[in-house]
Amino acid sequence: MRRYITQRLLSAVIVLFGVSILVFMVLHLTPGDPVEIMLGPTARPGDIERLRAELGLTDPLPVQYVRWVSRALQGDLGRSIQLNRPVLPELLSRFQATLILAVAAAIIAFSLGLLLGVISAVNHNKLVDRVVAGFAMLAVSMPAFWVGMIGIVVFAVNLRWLPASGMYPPQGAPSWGKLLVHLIMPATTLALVPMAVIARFTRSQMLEVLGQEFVLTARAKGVPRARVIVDHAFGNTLVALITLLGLEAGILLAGAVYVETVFAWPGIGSLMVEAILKRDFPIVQGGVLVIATSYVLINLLTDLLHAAADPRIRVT
Amino acid sequence: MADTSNPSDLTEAGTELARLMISRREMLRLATFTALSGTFGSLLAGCAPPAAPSTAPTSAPAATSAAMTTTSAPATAMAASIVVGLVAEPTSMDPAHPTDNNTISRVHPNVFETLVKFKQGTYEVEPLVAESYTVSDDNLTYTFKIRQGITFHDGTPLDADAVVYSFERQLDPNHPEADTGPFPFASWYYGSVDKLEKVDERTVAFTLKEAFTPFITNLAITIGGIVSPTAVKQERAGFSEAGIGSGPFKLKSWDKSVKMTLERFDGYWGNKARLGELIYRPIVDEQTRITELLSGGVQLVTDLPPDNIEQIKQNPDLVYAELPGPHAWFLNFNMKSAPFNDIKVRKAVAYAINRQAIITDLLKNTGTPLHSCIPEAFAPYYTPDVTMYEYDPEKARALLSEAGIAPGTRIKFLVTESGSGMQSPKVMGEAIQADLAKVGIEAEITVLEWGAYLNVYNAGLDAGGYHLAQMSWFYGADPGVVPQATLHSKNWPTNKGFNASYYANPRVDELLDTGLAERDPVKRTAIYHELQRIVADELPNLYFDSQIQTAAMAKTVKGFVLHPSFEQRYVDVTIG
Repeated sequence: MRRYITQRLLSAVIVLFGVSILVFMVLHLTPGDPVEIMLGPTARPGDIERLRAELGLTDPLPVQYVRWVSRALQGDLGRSIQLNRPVLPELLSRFQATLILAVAAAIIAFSLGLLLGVISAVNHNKLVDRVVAGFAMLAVSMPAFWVGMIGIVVFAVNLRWLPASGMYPPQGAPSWGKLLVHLIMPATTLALVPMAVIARFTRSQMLEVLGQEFVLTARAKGVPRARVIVDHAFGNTLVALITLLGLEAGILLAGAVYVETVFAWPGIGSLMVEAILKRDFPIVQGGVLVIATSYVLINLLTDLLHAAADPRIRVT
Repeated sequence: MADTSNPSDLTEAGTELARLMISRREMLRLATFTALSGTFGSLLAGCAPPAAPSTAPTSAPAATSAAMTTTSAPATAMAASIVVGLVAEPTSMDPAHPTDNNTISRVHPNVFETLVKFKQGTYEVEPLVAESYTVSDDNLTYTFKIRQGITFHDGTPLDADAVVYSFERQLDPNHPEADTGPFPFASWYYGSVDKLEKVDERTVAFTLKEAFTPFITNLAITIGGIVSPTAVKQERAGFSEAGIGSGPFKLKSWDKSVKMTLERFDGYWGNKARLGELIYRPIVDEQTRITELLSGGVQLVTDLPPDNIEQIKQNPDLVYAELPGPHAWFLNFNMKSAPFNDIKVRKAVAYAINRQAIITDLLKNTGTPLHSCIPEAFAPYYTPDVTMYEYDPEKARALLSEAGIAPGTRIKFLVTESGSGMQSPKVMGEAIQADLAKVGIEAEITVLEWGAYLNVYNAGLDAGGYHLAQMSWFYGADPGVVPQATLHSKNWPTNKGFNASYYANPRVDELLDTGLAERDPVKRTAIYHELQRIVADELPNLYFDSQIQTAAMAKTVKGFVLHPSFEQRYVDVTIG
């Protein structure tokens, strides 16, 4: 187990190293002089020189990279050009909002996805199965930003049941209740695609397991059908589902970019979109780094859970 | 979040997990359900109750201060609040920092006060912090008499020292609290100041290096907002989140990227704000801004998406407002090389372009046609009395054949993907290309991303072998500064200037120079009218349109007026 964990950790470090090089190069791969781009057409030469020196752009690339990484390791990701504030605290406070949204979406996606998948499998090829399949197809095919807009028009503009955007109402003190009301639409929107994927995946896994001999044996032994489904069949699909959890985490983080923009959710996704539009490179670099790191960590966690769940993985 | 940053913690977590794994099935349950709801649940809880760090100067709990505003409201005014949807997060609450219109014009005029302010509807200035001012005969020394009895939001008095301090910390890089942010806008607006001194407790004198008329209007921009020296010295870098000015509203709380709440400043020297609270919400997505307005979540938004304007105009619960902005979109001709060194060819292009069709169909009327080098927002300096080139392809063909330009002549046209103030440059460029093709000019378009575009553009069209290019400018507070930068012969790209057409006309240079020094509005108007006529006749640039600023608000909002400069003041706004 220890060796397995060490291996996983090592590969995570290598991935992060690669990410850091890519992120660092973002600034240098963009066409044009980054400093002139940042300052815009009214910048005078003096300002350009000053910012260039401030960003250390006059040194050779490897020197710049080492300096950037060593600062990043100390938690210094530079200052935002537009907001004139340190990047890291800004990113972390935004990341918190993204996490709330992603976790809420994950809970919806997994609970409903698993439920629908199990119902489909148990009712294999019956009407319920077909309806769920149709719903899953629809959910995967509809772009999240479009679903979000339709949701806003229906539930916020026309019915006025839910707020159109934001994390809290602008007036008064924030509370968990208010947060929950604001979470419903964005979290559901973000959950749709993973939910459909999980439902389909659970269904096929369950069907596979349900057809196996030990299930038949259990039934023959007189184990009640419900118990067979929950303990024997569903239990055996979990290993594969853990893998899915890791993959879907990536989808949730990526999907947050659209969903946060549509719902004005103050997360890291909307911050990145703003930063890209305003060419705020330190924010873009830091944001990619934070998202990539969290993705790597989630996958590492998945690997560890996976190993814990399935002894065969640890051995290899 | 569980601390997974330390590898040894992880290993420990792993062994802990293994130990827990009494049976595989139990482990599996643990892994999914418990872990999902449990860990994520605690994750959620760990994320700490809602409020993002609030940087309020007054740290009273929101509920109590809301109650306070209700009770302390004067009988005449409702202690109501209004929610305004902004296009982006305000960048800083230090007036020295921001470079974006969103912060400078929409937020700061309500928190900070300047020596003078724009009169409603025009760029003429009237007293604000200064109750009066005088200008010396040589137009070099501006002396301001500071109004008595102004206090900052922190209770300290606004006096001559505060005025001197507010400018010195922006103009003197060696000032102990010098902090201009990444881009020192102060030197762009107040760089002409040579000497700044306190004459007495209530008098401040600015001496300029040379006569520069825009100085007084530039003082109305909130970059020159007067800040509390006590607060800056106390807060240092934190001042950018404290924002202690003397305006009718003071900062109550700022939940980054969620909202900024301003509340009425009851110690305000003038007419007090009629709203109890003014709340800004950054809503970046334009459709979301509109749906928030439609669903009643916000009461006022600006910068509407062109496609929604009709819908808003027809909604009985909303009021629509628009005003041309101090903006010009234009085409640069490379006058250094053929074929645009010939005035006839430039005129042919002007006649060939169906401007109205582009404005109506592509820009959905979010622009208003502009034929002069000074935007309409600068009336009376603006004049429509110039040569206007209306769509006339026949005339264009005739001019081209007169100039000896054979049908099928190729030119290189520099177009940008997008860019600040560029409206819809790509589709506009393609429409212009199609119009030119109809009269026999084959424009070959090069599309560049904005940053790359500026590099090529600023290096000079001739250096890149281009004949035609697009550009736009926001004119700031004065009609003369941008024409000087874009039309004066000393500002060719070869001198790192913005005269990208390589225009040179001694009379134009003279008008531009005297225009910036002339203080008499009547004489100045004559100067700029002449300038606009010459430029329209000689066509170094083909001025195309001025972007319109738009706003929509709930019918219950009263007293909101757009200003040509984009600034928005909420002191007289009420909500029913």
